[in-house]
Amino acid sequence: MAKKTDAELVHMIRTGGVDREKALKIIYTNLKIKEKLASMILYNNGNTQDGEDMYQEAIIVMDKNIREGNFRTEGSLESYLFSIGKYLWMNQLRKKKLTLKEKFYDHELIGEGIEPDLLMMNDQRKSQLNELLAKLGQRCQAILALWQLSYSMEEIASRLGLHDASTARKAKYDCQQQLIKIVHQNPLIKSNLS
Amino acid sequence: MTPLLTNETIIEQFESHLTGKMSQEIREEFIQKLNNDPQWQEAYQTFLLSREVIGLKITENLRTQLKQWNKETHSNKPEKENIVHLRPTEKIRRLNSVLGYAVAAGVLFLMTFSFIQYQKVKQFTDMAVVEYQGINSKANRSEGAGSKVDQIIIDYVNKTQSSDQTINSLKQISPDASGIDYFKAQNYLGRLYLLQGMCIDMSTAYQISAQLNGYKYDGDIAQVLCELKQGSGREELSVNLKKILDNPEHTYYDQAVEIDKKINSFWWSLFN
Repeated sequence: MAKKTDAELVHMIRTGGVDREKALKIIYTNLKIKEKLASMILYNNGNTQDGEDMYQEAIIVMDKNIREGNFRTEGSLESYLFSIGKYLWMNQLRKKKLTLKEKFYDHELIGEGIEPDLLMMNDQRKSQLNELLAKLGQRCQAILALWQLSYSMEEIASRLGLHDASTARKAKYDCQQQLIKIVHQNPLIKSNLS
Repeated sequence: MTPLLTNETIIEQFESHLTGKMSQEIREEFIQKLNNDPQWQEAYQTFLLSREVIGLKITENLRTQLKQWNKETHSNKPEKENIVHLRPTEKIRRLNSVLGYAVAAGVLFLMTFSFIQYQKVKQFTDMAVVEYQGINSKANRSEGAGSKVDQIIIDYVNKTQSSDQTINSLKQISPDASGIDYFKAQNYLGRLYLLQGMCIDMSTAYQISAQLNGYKYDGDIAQVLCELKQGSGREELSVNLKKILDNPEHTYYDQAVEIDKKINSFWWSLFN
């Protein structure tokens, strides 16, 4: 496979579907940035597993930011991932009442076009959202997740073993209606509206 | 439940707005509706929250996928390539630094020690030769002092004549000269050849000198020393050395033992 530029990888993630999967795999298997982050974490009271975990979390955050239009860096994807990973690790250390041996400032994130508030979801909110998700069946979760990632109806049908695209479309509509009903009945919607 | 969200077209509109795929004209109209219609506001917020809920599922799926890729990466690569090269900790770096200095000091010590040993080896050869040929000693010049040969040697000892010049001058002393002069000239020639490591010439000169003086030339030790000077190998040296070592009564037996010990040492093998 020809080497992709950062811009191409970002475009692939934005496009969604199989392209996103390919781009994420390319980024994940970039050992250079993985080693750099792992090395920083080991130096700062972590171990190799922490390094792996933070790298995965950084990719998850990067993917979300790109998909939601919050990716505005002018630097490289590598420095973007490194900044996120470092910030996430700093937060982990804070929980353990430890600090980074090297200085880390929020402006390092802002320099990468990252808003620190967007990186961490409040634990309480995460728990509330998880409760809502749990009310939706596994099949609906899978259909809506694929749809949200811009998979075509044909691909959704093929991946979930549905008859055809038309069946997938109907299933997606039903699932979406179920979810809207669940969400609408929840008090969280009021806080979103306030 | 908000009735607007039962309409798939409206959901698609929300989706287009969120992903920035809406045209400018429709977008303006859409924003106006959102700002003015509470029903639209509620529907849009419900839509956003439902996306956020599914976002959790997407994150969960990606986390599983990353773990899977991690496993694949490790199983597809040879063990050696799986090692993540990490920056060493402060403690390890300090230890590395101390080890580095220790190795450097060790190398420096070894080099100095080797140099001293080399000097000792070299010095031994020179001293052994000088001791034997004793050209500088007064005893060797006492007999027949005042002769032409003595003058040549005095010039050499006083460094007014070089080794080569001295050899040439001594060669000029013909067999027709007084017996003692020719004998002394050949004897000194032997010593000077020994100093220069010219073993064949040395042997010839010594033999002539011995014949003239009426004694049997015993050149074993001279040969050994000359070969030492020449830098000959251990095996070559051993042949002549053995002749002396086999005879504990030999005049140079003790010196031969010392030479034998020396040439069998580690440092000698290293520098010869």
